Amino acid sequence: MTDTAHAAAPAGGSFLIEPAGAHRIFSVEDLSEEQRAMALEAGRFMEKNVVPKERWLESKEGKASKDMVKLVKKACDQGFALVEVPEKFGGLGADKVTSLLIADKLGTSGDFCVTWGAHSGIGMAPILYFGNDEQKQKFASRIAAGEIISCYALSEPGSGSDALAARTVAKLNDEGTHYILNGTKQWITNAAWADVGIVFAKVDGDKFTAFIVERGTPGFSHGTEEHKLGLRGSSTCQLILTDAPIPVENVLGEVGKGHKVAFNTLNLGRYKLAGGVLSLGKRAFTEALQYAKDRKQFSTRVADFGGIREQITDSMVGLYLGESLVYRVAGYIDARLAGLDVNAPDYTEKTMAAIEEYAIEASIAKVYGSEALDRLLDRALQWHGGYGFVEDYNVEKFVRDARVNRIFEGTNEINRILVPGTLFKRSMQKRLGLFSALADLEKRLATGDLGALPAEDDVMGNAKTALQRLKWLTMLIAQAASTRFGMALDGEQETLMQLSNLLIDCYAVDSAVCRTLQRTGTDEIAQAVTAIAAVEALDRAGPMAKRLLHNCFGGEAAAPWLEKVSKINVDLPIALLPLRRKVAAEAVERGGYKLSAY
Amino acid sequence: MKILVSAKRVSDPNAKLAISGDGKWVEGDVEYVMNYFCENAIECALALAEEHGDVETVALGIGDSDETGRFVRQGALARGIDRGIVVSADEGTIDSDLIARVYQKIVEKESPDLVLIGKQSVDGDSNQVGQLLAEYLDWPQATFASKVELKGDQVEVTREVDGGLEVVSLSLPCVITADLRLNEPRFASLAGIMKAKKKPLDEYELDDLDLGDAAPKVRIAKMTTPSGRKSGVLVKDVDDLVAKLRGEARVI
Repeated sequence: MTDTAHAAAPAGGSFLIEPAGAHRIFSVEDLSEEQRAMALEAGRFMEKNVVPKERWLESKEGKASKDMVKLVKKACDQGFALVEVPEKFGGLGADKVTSLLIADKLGTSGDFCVTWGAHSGIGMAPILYFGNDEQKQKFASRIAAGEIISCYALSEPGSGSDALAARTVAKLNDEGTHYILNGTKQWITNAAWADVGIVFAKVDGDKFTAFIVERGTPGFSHGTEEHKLGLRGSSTCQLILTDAPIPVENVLGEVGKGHKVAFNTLNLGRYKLAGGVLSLGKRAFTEALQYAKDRKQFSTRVADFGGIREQITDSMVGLYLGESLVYRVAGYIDARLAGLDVNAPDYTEKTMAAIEEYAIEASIAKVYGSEALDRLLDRALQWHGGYGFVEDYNVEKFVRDARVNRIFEGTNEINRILVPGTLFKRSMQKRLGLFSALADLEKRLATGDLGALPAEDDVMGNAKTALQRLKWLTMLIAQAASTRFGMALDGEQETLMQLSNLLIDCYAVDSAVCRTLQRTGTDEIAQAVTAIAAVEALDRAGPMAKRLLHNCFGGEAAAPWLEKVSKINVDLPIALLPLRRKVAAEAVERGGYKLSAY
Repeated sequence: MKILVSAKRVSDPNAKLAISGDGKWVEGDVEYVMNYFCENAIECALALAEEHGDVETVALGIGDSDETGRFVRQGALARGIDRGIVVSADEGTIDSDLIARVYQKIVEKESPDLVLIGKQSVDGDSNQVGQLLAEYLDWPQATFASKVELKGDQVEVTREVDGGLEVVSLSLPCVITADLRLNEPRFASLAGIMKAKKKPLDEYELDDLDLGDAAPKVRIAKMTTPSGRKSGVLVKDVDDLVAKLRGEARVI
């Protein structure tokens, strides 16, 4: 739909093995005028309708929950749920970048954001991708229009991360007209007010299957509201199914193929979650900076202390990298989907393949986005001093609301494990040229061809060098870990976590470097942010790599690996402090994150 | 029936502005929004069109051609206005009179039955264009409208005046300026934004309009920011307060 020239679509995971900053990636600078207009409307919707009400929504007093449903319907009236719906079913049939953009801009208030995501995201996407035309007409188009509210029910009291261990069962009745469902679903967002839900159950106790369950079905009810740390304005209850008859035409996808529905929906949700955290982070940053500028201690604005400015710079880095890496994922997926016929029978299959191709990047986006947000919010609260701990300021709410981002859509631990695991799998399948990249690295190490070091004042030169060295260190550690543990590496989660952290840094920094190189004009702040991110990531990686090798091999056996590490790792002589101060000064002066405007 | 409606972009009233070195204009990060009163005018045009059918709505923006074009598209066409016109002009120097004469020329080209204009723009706050235009066209006018009803070839307008409301009836064609309480402007839907891309947007230069003398009659001599508030003083007791109110403030 857009006239934006999307980036090419290299293999998922190739950020690791390609030279630093080599890819042309999609970034928010590439958004079309039309997409910007949509973003503006979504931002205005939040500012005018949701943000002024958020404390009231959180109170859940009397009419508050009705108001939340009204807001969801109002957002539907403006067409925000139509983005991904095909034109054939009354939608806009827009691309993934547009849908990410809307999720991003609707993310400024946690309670609404999660309610909206459960309704229009995970509560509708499964029907759009796996439903038949009747189901799309009957359910998806009504969900998109806000006529009915939806939810998604996968977790159970006994199974969270291990979703396939679900105990809810379905049995076909004698007449063959209905499946009879029995079981309990846990942590279901929108449970109290949903008219319809995507519910997973095992047919005959073993065939994992997705069903569309409608309100009013006998034996289908919800439990009481959970008392949560945050997102208190959203509804979270159990869904309870007791001999609930579900018509056979409400089976979503095929019987026994529910895992495809469940996991692909999660893949979709992951990078969108990373979009949603961006605008909350930017909002919190702006509000906290304002406080830090107004508040004086020792006759000095809080925002002027070096110890605070350091944290301000960290927050800028987190936002810039988060923005760079998540739009890159959506741009890649769109590039893969470009030219596909939405009405072709294999459209869903191809879409899911495109999304799966970037599963590593999507997991990284989820982990990086949720953790960058929490770091930012924790600092923002700190700048408030005691006032950060009370309800007079929003930051305490932001902190409470954000925490669950590291838990749902696959815990960050699960996602971290997926990153190296998928990377190794792809390399074995020859979908990713990790082995030839390692052979190339071996040759470079033998000949000493590791590239010239940049001058200390060459900001982007330092960023690129740091990133290249970081990638090589990461590849080397991946090789060391798989050499040491082989197939048993799966059981070495401590090592996998560290490797995953290196990979996350590689992708985040590479995204920033690619994007900064693409940006036009003088761009001192973006360059400074990029260099800070890259050089500090390398500074962390060197000692971490050494310790990991000691841990893996111990004693003499680690020596040849350590020698390679010391060849790759360099102490870049660039002084980062002036750059850090420049970034912080700009943020304080302009009162927020201004490295993008959309 | 055809309605011509104003679509002016203004610097965001909530943003902090810095005055440029020569004191003639603003500088720095200026963020723009659609003029609030123009949003009311646009909403009114759309509501009339929906109520009566067979109404063509046209939005006019005057200013930097690319940026004003973007605002006309996003603020007016995306909300449902049928087509747009942009007249390219320097927003820093154009005055209310020249704007009114541009409107006059566009009215001559388009022959609308009704011109709906925001009562003023929230940047310059001049509140002159509607009145000047009605004078130049020799059309009836109703300013500060809080209600507009079409009744055949008449239009009934409720005006907000000092101390109450005044209901006037005008014959078409006429000029109406919109006040804030006229309506609640709608948001653009995403579908509206996509449709707006394909709607026609005509562009003119000032020279194209045969304006005669296009020199502004009002020039900005100097802009200054309001002086900062003086800090208060603590009074010792009631007698001191009364003395200060009487002696220094002279309010009692």
